[in-house]
Amino acid sequence: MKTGPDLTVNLGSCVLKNPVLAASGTFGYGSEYGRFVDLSDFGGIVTKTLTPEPWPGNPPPRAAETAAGMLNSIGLQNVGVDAFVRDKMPYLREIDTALIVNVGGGPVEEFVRVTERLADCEGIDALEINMSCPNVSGGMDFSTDPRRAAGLVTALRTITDLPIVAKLTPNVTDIAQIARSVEDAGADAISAINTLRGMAVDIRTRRPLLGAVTGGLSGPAIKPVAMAAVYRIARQVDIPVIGIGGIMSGEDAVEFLVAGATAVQVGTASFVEPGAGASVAQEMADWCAASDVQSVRDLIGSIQIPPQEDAPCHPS
Amino acid sequence: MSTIPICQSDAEILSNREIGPGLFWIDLLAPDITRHALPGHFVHLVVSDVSEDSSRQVWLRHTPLLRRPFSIAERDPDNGIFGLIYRIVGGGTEILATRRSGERVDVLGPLGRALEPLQSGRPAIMVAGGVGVAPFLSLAQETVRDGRARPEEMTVLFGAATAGLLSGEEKFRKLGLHVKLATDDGSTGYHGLVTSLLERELDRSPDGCAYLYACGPTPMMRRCQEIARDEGIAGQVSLEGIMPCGVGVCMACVVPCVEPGDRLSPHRYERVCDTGPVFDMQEVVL
Repeated sequence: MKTGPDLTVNLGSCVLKNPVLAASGTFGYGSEYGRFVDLSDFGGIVTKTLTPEPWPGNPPPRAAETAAGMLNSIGLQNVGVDAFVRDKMPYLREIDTALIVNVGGGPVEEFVRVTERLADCEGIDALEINMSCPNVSGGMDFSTDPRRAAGLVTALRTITDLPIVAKLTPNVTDIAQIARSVEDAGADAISAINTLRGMAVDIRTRRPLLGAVTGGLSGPAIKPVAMAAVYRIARQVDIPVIGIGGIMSGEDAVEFLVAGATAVQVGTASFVEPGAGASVAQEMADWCAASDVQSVRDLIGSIQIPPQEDAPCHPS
Repeated sequence: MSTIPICQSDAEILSNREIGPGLFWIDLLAPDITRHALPGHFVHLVVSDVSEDSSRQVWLRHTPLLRRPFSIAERDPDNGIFGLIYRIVGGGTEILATRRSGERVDVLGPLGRALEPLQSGRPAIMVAGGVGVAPFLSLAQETVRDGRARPEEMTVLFGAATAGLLSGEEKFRKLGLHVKLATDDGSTGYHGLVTSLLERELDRSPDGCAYLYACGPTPMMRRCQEIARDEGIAGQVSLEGIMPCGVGVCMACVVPCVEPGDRLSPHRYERVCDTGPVFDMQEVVL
């Protein structure tokens, strides 16, 4: 990264060298893309959701491309927390970038087991709690109910000092309400959004394109939905918000910061451009330099909302 | 995970031509990928033109969004060129077919597990369905080039819907392989399924096949598995998959697999892109 605008941002006690992270589930355990991408140019990496035991995942087909996006129904296939600590952490620990480990499970006890296993594992900068996977029954319930969401964060808050990032689903009526409840329960940051529930049908065979029938929509198609969620959450909580949804470019990332995000995650974009985590950060730096912005932190929440008098039916 | 280095290349299109109805051959200049590729490897292509064009937003440039996987069909390592064969089956291949020589495509590769090399003294049959011929073109070419096995120890059974879709068969003949064709419509060669042709071949010369390769539509490969199991022939299948990442990250392109010799054991899901696309003949449940 060239010297230029200050790109550093903070997520609680976790300092990022730039605001761009690779999103969970789209970057494996780092080593896969690390074979040909320099991960030290990323602001950080969020690893694939871990469950206490290895998890087989959903029946295929698990992905389908749709307009400006894709559906997936992976179902959290992962190596399990023990294999992660044993086989994946030695590699991840050596990368010069922030490491956020994504924690999942069914009941609260499973999240607790994973978190306990990771709590004293050296090299982890924060935990992201996947309380919103649309592809595993039960998992999504946590972030559709403010009390259950808070209960999960509270349970984990007592067993780890690592910053806790709560990853929320957009498949709710009022995402800002869920965000407030996890903030009150002690979350240090909020990731928004997870995928939107979606479905596609092959009209020739009359079968769904996904083996699990429905799945999660990601990619540029969901960017406006994510933007609105980030904007509304950021106005209601004091902790940092990580914007996720369809980011493909530095300008997309700047847009999220202006709307209220402190950092962003690139997900589907990494499939298209494996170095997206670095290229989006570089494009942000270039944009800031060209726009006379000294620090990306000056962008956070800098949105200018025009007076609303002429809009009596403004929806939010 | 393969130890072959993965390269991301801004490859130049040297030619992109129609060789049959809706069937295309594209040659790409990408020396790093060409150097390391083995038969059975594939590449992951951004099919649309993503070159700098400030008038279009990034997401518009990236329509369709995801990369598309193609098996390497031919390799010219001296000139850093590899070739792919593809048929227009959807929006991605439709756009790829419009790309012209001189333009560039972003390519990741070589990816996946390569085919088991042919061995002298172990006569092999390759059963190809449609564009499933690609890895076998590569395998035949490399085997003859290396002198690893004699051309007469290799038989290609190549099937497609109609004669015009059997493009590539002349390359096998030029290399000196036995080639037998099958078409659904009887327009050339055997009138029927390529798997029926396989059964006929095995009946005619029971010692003519000690190893079986198959790549093509799923029903074709499933039948090859049955025949190989009944005949006690070892071999490999090469699969396709809907692959968002192509490098083992997203876990989307999985197939159910079983332990060898135990088809009743609980399935485990293996990635086509990373553990495959080549699997042992009886390992995958198709």
